[in-house]
Amino acid sequence: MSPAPTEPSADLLALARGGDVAAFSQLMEELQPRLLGQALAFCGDRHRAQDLVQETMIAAWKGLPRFDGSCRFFTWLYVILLRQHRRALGWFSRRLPLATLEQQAAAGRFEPDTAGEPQDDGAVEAELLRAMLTALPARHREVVRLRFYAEASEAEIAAALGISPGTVKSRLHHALTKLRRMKEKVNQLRGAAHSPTDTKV
Amino acid sequence: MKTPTPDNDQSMRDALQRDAARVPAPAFDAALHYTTMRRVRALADAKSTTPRLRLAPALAAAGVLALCAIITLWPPEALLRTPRNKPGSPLPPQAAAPRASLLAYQAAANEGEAALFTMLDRDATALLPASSPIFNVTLPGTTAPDL
Repeated sequence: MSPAPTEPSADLLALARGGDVAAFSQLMEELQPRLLGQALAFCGDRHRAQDLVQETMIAAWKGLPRFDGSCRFFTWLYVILLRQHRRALGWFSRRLPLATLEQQAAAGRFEPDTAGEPQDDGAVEAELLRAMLTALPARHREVVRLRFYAEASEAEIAAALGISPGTVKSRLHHALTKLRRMKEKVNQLRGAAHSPTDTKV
Repeated sequence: MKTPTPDNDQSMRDALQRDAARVPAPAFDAALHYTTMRRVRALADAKSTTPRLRLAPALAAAGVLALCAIITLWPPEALLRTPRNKPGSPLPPQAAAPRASLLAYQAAANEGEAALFTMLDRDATALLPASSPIFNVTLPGTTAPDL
Protein backbone atom coordinates (compact mmCIF):
# COMPACT_ATOMS: atom_id res chain seq x y z
CA MET A 1 0.00 0.00 0.00
CA SER A 2 1.25 3.45 -0.80
CA PRO A 3 2.17 5.53 2.23
CA ALA A 4 -0.01 8.43 3.28
CA PRO A 5 1.16 11.64 1.63
CA THR A 6 3.26 13.75 3.89
CA GLU A 7 3.63 17.44 3.43
CA PRO A 8 7.19 18.74 3.24
CA SER A 9 8.26 21.33 5.75
CA ALA A 10 7.24 24.91 5.04
CA ASP A 11 10.84 26.08 5.42
CA LEU A 12 12.06 23.66 2.79
CA LEU A 13 9.29 24.70 0.45
CA ALA A 14 10.04 28.37 0.99
CA LEU A 15 13.73 27.81 0.23
CA ALA A 16 12.91 25.85 -2.91
CA ARG A 17 10.47 28.51 -4.05
CA GLY A 18 13.23 31.06 -3.61
CA GLY A 19 15.38 29.16 -6.11
CA ASP A 20 17.39 26.97 -3.73
CA VAL A 21 18.28 23.93 -5.83
CA ALA A 22 19.45 21.92 -2.81
CA ALA A 23 16.13 22.44 -1.05
CA PHE A 24 14.26 21.42 -4.19
CA SER A 25 16.43 18.33 -4.47
CA GLN A 26 15.57 17.39 -0.88
CA LEU A 27 11.86 17.91 -1.58
CA MET A 28 12.01 15.68 -4.61
CA GLU A 29 13.91 12.99 -2.74
CA GLU A 30 10.97 12.77 -0.35
CA LEU A 31 8.24 12.77 -2.97
CA GLN A 32 9.84 10.94 -5.88
CA PRO A 33 8.89 7.35 -4.86
CA ARG A 34 5.24 8.27 -4.51
CA LEU A 35 5.24 10.17 -7.79
CA LEU A 36 6.98 7.28 -9.52
CA GLY A 37 4.41 4.83 -8.16
CA GLN A 38 1.57 6.92 -9.57
CA ALA A 39 3.39 7.33 -12.88
CA LEU A 40 3.85 3.55 -13.04
CA ALA A 41 0.13 3.13 -12.47
CA PHE A 42 -0.59 5.47 -15.39
CA CYS A 43 1.99 4.15 -17.81
CA GLY A 44 2.49 0.54 -16.79
CA ASP A 45 6.06 0.85 -18.05
CA ARG A 46 9.02 1.80 -15.90
CA HIS A 47 10.96 3.79 -18.51
CA ARG A 48 7.95 5.85 -19.50
CA ALA A 49 7.12 6.37 -15.84
CA GLN A 50 10.67 7.61 -15.18
CA ASP A 51 10.43 10.03 -18.10
CA LEU A 52 7.09 11.24 -16.83
CA VAL A 53 8.44 11.84 -13.32
CA GLN A 54 11.47 13.64 -14.71
CA GLU A 55 9.35 15.98 -16.82
CA THR A 56 7.03 16.54 -13.86
CA MET A 57 9.95 17.52 -11.63
CA ILE A 58 11.34 19.89 -14.27
CA ALA A 59 7.92 21.50 -14.75
CA ALA A 60 7.58 21.73 -10.96
CA TRP A 61 10.92 23.55 -10.70
CA LYS A 62 9.88 26.00 -13.40
CA GLY A 63 6.45 26.57 -11.87
CA LEU A 64 7.47 26.56 -8.22
CA PRO A 65 7.33 30.36 -7.80
CA ARG A 66 3.65 30.13 -8.75
CA PHE A 67 2.84 27.59 -6.02
CA ASP A 68 0.79 29.59 -3.53
CA GLY A 69 0.24 26.95 -0.83
CA SER A 70 -3.53 26.83 -1.37
CA CYS A 71 -3.27 23.05 -1.68
CA ARG A 72 -0.78 20.47 -0.50
CA PHE A 73 2.46 20.42 -2.42
CA PHE A 74 1.91 16.80 -3.45
CA THR A 75 -1.54 17.66 -4.84
CA TRP A 76 0.03 20.45 -6.86
CA LEU A 77 2.72 18.04 -8.11
CA TYR A 78 0.10 15.45 -8.92
CA VAL A 79 -1.76 17.90 -11.14
CA ILE A 80 1.50 18.51 -13.02
CA LEU A 81 2.00 14.74 -13.31
CA LEU A 82 -1.49 14.30 -14.74
CA ARG A 83 -1.02 17.08 -17.25
CA GLN A 84 2.44 15.89 -18.30
CA HIS A 85 0.98 12.45 -18.81
CA ARG A 86 -1.83 13.84 -20.93
CA ARG A 87 0.66 15.89 -22.93
CA ALA A 88 2.95 12.89 -23.42
CA LEU A 89 0.07 10.83 -24.73
CA GLY A 90 -1.09 13.59 -27.06
CA TRP A 91 -3.86 12.36 -29.25
CA PHE A 92 -3.95 9.07 -27.36
CA SER A 93 -4.96 10.87 -24.17
CA ARG A 94 -8.45 11.07 -25.59
CA ARG A 95 -10.75 8.86 -23.66
CA LEU A 96 -11.21 5.25 -24.59
CA PRO A 97 -14.52 4.88 -26.40
CA LEU A 98 -17.02 3.16 -24.13
CA ALA A 99 -17.87 0.75 -26.93
CA THR A 100 -14.26 -0.47 -26.89
CA LEU A 101 -14.45 -1.13 -23.18
CA GLU A 102 -17.70 -3.03 -23.67
CA GLN A 103 -16.21 -5.05 -26.52
CA GLN A 104 -13.22 -5.90 -24.32
CA ALA A 105 -15.53 -6.97 -21.50
CA ALA A 106 -17.65 -9.06 -23.87
CA ALA A 107 -14.49 -10.71 -25.19
CA GLY A 108 -13.59 -11.78 -21.67
CA ARG A 109 -10.61 -9.47 -21.31
CA PHE A 110 -11.49 -8.71 -17.70
CA GLU A 111 -11.83 -12.33 -16.59
CA PRO A 112 -9.38 -14.21 -14.38
CA ASP A 113 -7.08 -16.25 -16.59
CA THR A 114 -8.10 -19.80 -15.72
CA ALA A 115 -5.97 -21.39 -18.42
CA GLY A 116 -2.64 -19.97 -17.34
CA GLU A 117 -1.34 -19.08 -13.93
CA PRO A 118 -3.99 -18.33 -11.33
CA GLN A 119 -4.57 -14.60 -11.44
CA ASP A 120 -5.49 -12.40 -8.52
CA ASP A 121 -9.14 -11.36 -8.78
CA GLY A 122 -8.17 -8.00 -7.30
CA ALA A 123 -5.68 -7.43 -10.12
CA VAL A 124 -8.36 -8.18 -12.71
CA GLU A 125 -10.75 -5.80 -11.01
CA ALA A 126 -8.01 -3.16 -10.84
CA GLU A 127 -7.35 -3.57 -14.55
CA LEU A 128 -11.05 -3.19 -15.25
CA LEU A 129 -11.28 -0.12 -13.04
CA ARG A 130 -8.29 1.52 -14.75
CA ALA A 131 -9.76 0.74 -18.15
CA MET A 132 -13.01 2.33 -17.02
CA LEU A 133 -11.09 5.38 -15.83
CA THR A 134 -9.59 5.82 -19.29
CA ALA A 135 -13.12 5.81 -20.69
CA LEU A 136 -13.99 8.86 -18.60
CA PRO A 137 -13.69 12.37 -20.03
CA ALA A 138 -10.33 13.90 -19.08
CA ARG A 139 -11.80 16.49 -16.73
CA HIS A 140 -13.66 13.78 -14.79
CA ARG A 141 -10.70 11.44 -14.77
CA GLU A 142 -8.50 14.22 -13.38
CA VAL A 143 -10.82 14.85 -10.45
CA VAL A 144 -11.19 11.15 -9.66
CA ARG A 145 -7.44 10.60 -9.69
CA LEU A 146 -6.83 13.60 -7.48
CA ARG A 147 -9.56 12.62 -5.04
CA PHE A 148 -8.76 8.93 -4.65
CA TYR A 149 -5.17 8.45 -5.77
CA ALA A 150 -3.65 11.69 -4.47
CA GLU A 151 -6.05 11.72 -1.50
CA ALA A 152 -6.81 15.38 -2.02
CA SER A 153 -9.88 16.99 -0.51
CA GLU A 154 -12.47 18.60 -2.76
CA ALA A 155 -11.36 22.05 -1.63
CA GLU A 156 -7.76 21.19 -2.44
CA ILE A 157 -8.69 19.87 -5.88
CA ALA A 158 -10.60 23.08 -6.53
CA ALA A 159 -7.56 25.16 -5.56
CA ALA A 160 -5.13 23.02 -7.55
CA LEU A 161 -7.25 23.03 -10.71
CA GLY A 162 -8.44 26.62 -10.36
CA ILE A 163 -12.11 25.67 -10.39
CA SER A 164 -14.87 26.10 -7.82
CA PRO A 165 -15.52 23.44 -5.14
CA GLY A 166 -19.03 23.06 -6.58
CA THR A 167 -17.57 22.13 -9.96
CA VAL A 168 -15.29 19.59 -8.30
CA LYS A 169 -18.26 18.05 -6.49
CA SER A 170 -20.28 17.96 -9.69
CA ARG A 171 -17.47 16.43 -11.76
CA LEU A 172 -16.79 13.84 -9.09
CA HIS A 173 -20.43 12.90 -8.92
CA HIS A 174 -20.74 12.57 -12.70
CA ALA A 175 -17.52 10.58 -12.85
CA LEU A 176 -18.64 8.14 -10.15
CA THR A 177 -22.04 7.74 -11.76
CA LYS A 178 -20.45 7.00 -15.13
CA LEU A 179 -18.05 4.54 -13.55
CA ARG A 180 -20.90 2.79 -11.76
CA ARG A 181 -22.91 2.50 -14.95
CA MET A 182 -19.91 1.20 -16.85
CA LYS A 183 -19.35 -1.37 -14.13
CA GLU A 184 -22.96 -2.49 -14.33
CA LYS A 185 -22.77 -2.79 -18.09
CA VAL A 186 -19.52 -4.71 -17.94
CA ASN A 187 -20.94 -7.06 -15.31
CA GLN A 188 -23.95 -7.60 -17.52
CA LEU A 189 -21.71 -8.45 -20.46
CA ARG A 190 -19.62 -10.76 -18.31
CA GLY A 191 -22.75 -12.54 -17.13
CA ALA A 192 -23.88 -12.91 -20.70
CA ALA A 193 -20.51 -14.30 -21.69
CA HIS A 194 -20.68 -16.92 -18.90
CA SER A 195 -24.23 -18.07 -19.67
CA PRO A 196 -24.78 -17.74 -23.40
CA THR A 197 -28.19 -19.41 -23.26
CA ASP A 198 -29.55 -16.73 -20.93
CA THR A 199 -28.31 -13.84 -23.01
CA LYS A 200 -30.57 -10.87 -22.86
CA VAL A 201 -30.03 -7.78 -24.97
CA MET B 1 -30.97 17.83 -11.80
CA LYS B 2 -31.40 14.73 -9.72
CA THR B 3 -29.36 14.84 -6.53
CA PRO B 4 -27.45 11.61 -6.07
CA THR B 5 -27.64 9.65 -2.89
CA PRO B 6 -24.17 8.97 -1.49
CA ASP B 7 -24.89 5.23 -1.25
CA ASN B 8 -25.23 4.92 -5.01
CA ASP B 9 -21.60 5.86 -5.53
CA GLN B 10 -20.21 4.29 -2.37
CA SER B 11 -19.32 1.03 -4.08
CA MET B 12 -17.32 2.93 -6.68
CA ARG B 13 -15.65 5.04 -4.02
CA ASP B 14 -14.63 1.87 -2.18
CA ALA B 15 -13.34 0.28 -5.37
CA LEU B 16 -11.27 3.37 -6.21
CA GLN B 17 -9.86 3.52 -2.70
CA ARG B 18 -8.90 -0.14 -2.90
CA ASP B 19 -7.22 0.45 -6.24
CA ALA B 20 -5.39 3.50 -4.95
CA ALA B 21 -4.10 1.40 -2.07
CA ARG B 22 -2.72 -1.08 -4.57
CA VAL B 23 -0.57 1.53 -6.29
CA PRO B 24 2.99 0.61 -5.31
CA ALA B 25 5.47 3.08 -3.90
CA PRO B 26 8.74 1.96 -5.49
CA ALA B 27 12.12 2.56 -3.89
CA PHE B 28 13.81 5.91 -4.38
CA ASP B 29 15.37 5.97 -7.85
CA ALA B 30 18.76 7.63 -7.34
CA ALA B 31 19.71 7.62 -11.03
CA LEU B 32 16.46 9.31 -11.98
CA HIS B 33 16.92 11.86 -9.22
CA TYR B 34 20.51 12.59 -10.27
CA THR B 35 19.55 13.03 -13.93
CA THR B 36 16.64 15.28 -13.10
CA MET B 37 18.59 17.44 -10.69
CA ARG B 38 21.33 17.87 -13.27
CA ARG B 39 18.72 19.32 -15.62
CA VAL B 40 17.30 21.47 -12.83
CA ARG B 41 20.78 22.86 -12.03
CA ALA B 42 21.33 23.64 -15.71
CA LEU B 43 18.04 25.52 -15.72
CA ALA B 44 18.96 27.37 -12.55
CA ASP B 45 22.36 28.34 -14.02
CA ALA B 46 20.72 29.51 -17.23
CA LYS B 47 18.31 31.61 -15.20
CA SER B 48 21.14 33.29 -13.30
CA THR B 49 22.73 34.38 -16.59
CA THR B 50 19.46 35.48 -18.11
CA PRO B 51 19.98 39.28 -17.76
CA ARG B 52 23.16 39.09 -19.83
CA LEU B 53 21.58 36.81 -22.38
CA ARG B 54 18.60 39.07 -22.74
CA LEU B 55 20.93 41.79 -24.03
CA ALA B 56 21.74 39.74 -27.10
CA PRO B 57 18.25 39.85 -28.64
CA ALA B 58 17.93 43.52 -27.68
CA LEU B 59 21.20 44.35 -29.42
CA ALA B 60 20.23 42.31 -32.45
CA ALA B 61 16.90 44.14 -32.65
CA ALA B 62 18.66 47.51 -32.35
CA GLY B 63 21.05 46.52 -35.14
CA VAL B 64 18.19 45.51 -37.41
CA LEU B 65 16.41 48.82 -36.70
CA ALA B 66 19.57 50.79 -37.45
CA LEU B 67 20.03 48.90 -40.71
CA CYS B 68 16.42 49.59 -41.68
CA ALA B 69 16.90 53.30 -40.91
CA ILE B 70 20.06 53.47 -43.04
CA ILE B 71 18.36 51.75 -45.94
CA THR B 72 15.36 54.07 -45.67
CA LEU B 73 17.34 57.31 -45.36
CA TRP B 74 20.01 56.45 -47.90
CA PRO B 75 18.38 56.38 -51.34
CA PRO B 76 19.32 53.34 -53.31
CA GLU B 77 20.19 55.60 -56.27
CA ALA B 78 23.16 56.77 -54.31
CA LEU B 79 24.34 53.19 -53.89
CA LEU B 80 23.79 52.37 -57.54
CA ARG B 81 24.95 55.67 -59.00
CA THR B 82 27.28 55.19 -61.95
CA PRO B 83 28.36 57.72 -64.57
CA ARG B 84 25.87 57.62 -67.37
CA ASN B 85 25.69 59.53 -70.62
CA LYS B 86 22.49 61.01 -71.79
CA PRO B 87 21.63 60.14 -75.37
CA GLY B 88 23.29 62.59 -77.74
CA SER B 89 25.78 63.95 -75.24
CA PRO B 90 29.45 63.95 -76.30
CA LEU B 91 31.55 61.04 -75.18
CA PRO B 92 33.89 61.80 -72.31
CA PRO B 93 37.52 62.22 -73.23
CA GLN B 94 39.29 58.91 -73.32
CA ALA B 95 42.58 58.42 -71.62
CA ALA B 96 45.47 59.13 -73.90
CA ALA B 97 46.33 55.95 -75.65
CA PRO B 98 49.82 55.17 -76.69
CA ARG B 99 50.36 57.12 -79.76
CA ALA B 100 51.92 54.43 -81.86
CA SER B 101 52.59 50.77 -81.67
CA LEU B 102 55.88 49.11 -82.23
CA LEU B 103 54.73 48.17 -85.71
CA ALA B 104 53.95 51.83 -86.45
CA TYR B 105 57.45 52.81 -85.36
CA GLN B 106 58.93 50.10 -87.56
CA ALA B 107 56.88 51.36 -90.49
CA ALA B 108 57.97 54.95 -89.80
CA ALA B 109 61.61 53.88 -89.55
CA ASN B 110 61.28 52.16 -92.91
CA GLU B 111 59.95 55.38 -94.37
CA GLY B 112 62.92 57.32 -93.19
CA GLU B 113 64.34 59.22 -90.26
CA ALA B 114 62.12 62.22 -90.75
CA ALA B 115 58.98 60.17 -90.40
CA LEU B 116 60.38 58.38 -87.36
CA PHE B 117 61.37 61.63 -85.62
CA THR B 118 58.01 63.17 -86.44
CA MET B 119 56.31 60.27 -84.77
CA LEU B 120 58.65 60.42 -81.80
CA ASP B 121 58.00 64.16 -81.48
CA ARG B 122 54.30 63.65 -81.58
CA ASP B 123 54.36 60.95 -78.90
CA ALA B 124 56.80 62.87 -76.73
CA THR B 125 54.54 65.90 -76.90
CA ALA B 126 51.62 63.78 -75.79
CA LEU B 127 53.46 61.92 -73.07
CA LEU B 128 55.91 64.42 -71.58
CA PRO B 129 55.36 67.88 -70.07
CA ALA B 130 56.22 70.86 -72.25
CA SER B 131 59.00 71.86 -69.84
CA SER B 132 60.82 68.59 -70.39
CA PRO B 133 64.47 69.28 -71.41
CA ILE B 134 64.13 66.81 -74.22
CA PHE B 135 62.28 69.43 -76.22
CA ASN B 136 65.25 71.77 -76.05
CA VAL B 137 67.64 69.23 -77.52
CA THR B 138 68.26 69.60 -81.16
CA LEU B 139 68.61 66.32 -82.88
CA PRO B 140 71.41 66.00 -85.38
CA GLY B 141 70.34 67.07 -88.85
CA THR B 142 67.11 68.75 -87.57
CA THR B 143 66.07 72.19 -86.48
CA ALA B 144 64.84 72.99 -82.97
CA PRO B 145 61.12 72.42 -82.63
CA ASP B 146 58.84 75.39 -82.32
CA LEU B 147 57.08 74.95 -78.98
